[in-house]
Amino acid sequence: MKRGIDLGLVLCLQCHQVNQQASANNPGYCHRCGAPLFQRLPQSLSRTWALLITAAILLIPANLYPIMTVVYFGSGQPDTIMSGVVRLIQSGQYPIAILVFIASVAVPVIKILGIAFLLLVVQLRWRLSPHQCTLMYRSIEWIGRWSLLDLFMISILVTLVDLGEIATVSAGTGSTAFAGVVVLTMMSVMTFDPRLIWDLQDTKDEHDSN
Amino acid sequence: MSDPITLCHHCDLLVKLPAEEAAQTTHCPRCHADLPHDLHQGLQAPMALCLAGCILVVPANTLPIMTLSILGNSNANTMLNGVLQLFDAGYWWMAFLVFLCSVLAPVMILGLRFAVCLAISTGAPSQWVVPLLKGYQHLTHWSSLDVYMLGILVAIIKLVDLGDLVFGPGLYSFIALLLLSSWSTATFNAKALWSLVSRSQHQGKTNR
Ligand SMILES: [Zn+2]
Ligand SMILES: [Zn+2]
Repeated sequence: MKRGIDLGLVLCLQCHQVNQQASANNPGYCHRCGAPLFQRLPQSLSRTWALLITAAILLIPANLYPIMTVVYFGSGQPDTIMSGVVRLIQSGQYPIAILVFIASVAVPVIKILGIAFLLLVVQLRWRLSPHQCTLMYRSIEWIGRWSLLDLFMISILVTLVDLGEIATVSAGTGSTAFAGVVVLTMMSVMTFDPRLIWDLQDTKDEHDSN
Repeated sequence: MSDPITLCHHCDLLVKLPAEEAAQTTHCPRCHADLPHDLHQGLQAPMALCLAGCILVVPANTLPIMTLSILGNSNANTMLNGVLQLFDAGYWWMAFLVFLCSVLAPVMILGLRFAVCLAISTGAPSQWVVPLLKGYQHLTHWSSLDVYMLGILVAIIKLVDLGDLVFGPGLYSFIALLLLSSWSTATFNAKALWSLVSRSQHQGKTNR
């Protein structure tokens, strides 16, 4: 089991080219595409923490302010994400209620907690299975885009339900904050370097063999 | 033949790649990440699919997806109208995100794939191909046509009790676009094209 970092090899994350490190401390630039090379993403932990904390703070207005107002024959009030889900349950639309709950409430929270957990694993050198942690990282990476569901739905409803006195749908302040949460959590997945998880085990092996 | 070895992007393990013909997909033996393979599947199929996709983008974005009628009043929506309405209502940031993920990134991906294939097949210098391929890879994170499809489904279920819903040509174009773009993803192998870039770079050096 040899790692690139031990052999002086660097993978270009832009074009998958394996490069020789330019010198011991400086990986240099990719000889194929010219992108700067890094053994690990630069300041991966602090950048990811910064994005994650901002996302967690934005999650509060995203849930407190209304994301959408549906007015149907003159009646209707602004709905937050949760009150929208409750309304769907009350009207008996359980499958969509569950779907919207997963995409808009569960996924953002799971993503933020999940990435925070992985950051702690790396920083506090918790002895956990790197397989499980990598699997967790990949799941978070995969579910990320599905939080866009609510935003897409709003953009469909605002134009479709635009019938003046009869029915209108308009977006609310919370949706701006929610859009911020989606982007920031997606970016935090990109700035986190999963190789750090494996480095824990690899450096531990070295200590054991010495 | 480019690299007989690669490094795993998820755990930095040195992996020996199997012979090119045998390797449809390779997994990292340690963390089981999907490793990109070099199998080149030709340029014609992705070019045709991307061109067809680029053409379908126009009706998918501008024709009505569905029409809602309540008590004789009716209104239709298109993908672009949704973005414009949010923009007019002052939700610029959200409008931009919806535009990026449902319109701009999918179109740019199809267009850039087409441009990359065209540049390689006409033997364009690698300085042209490199920025196109790089731009393409940045956009792949944001394209979310599949999520938009789910958004349409949820909107349908929400509205079906409210009034009469009629599906428009935009919906069928959108579904076709979604299928075409996933199909073109299956035929377009960025790593194989990067290897072709390497080859043309080497040729450029030896010719000089
Ligand atoms: Zn490169
Ligand atoms: Zn691996």
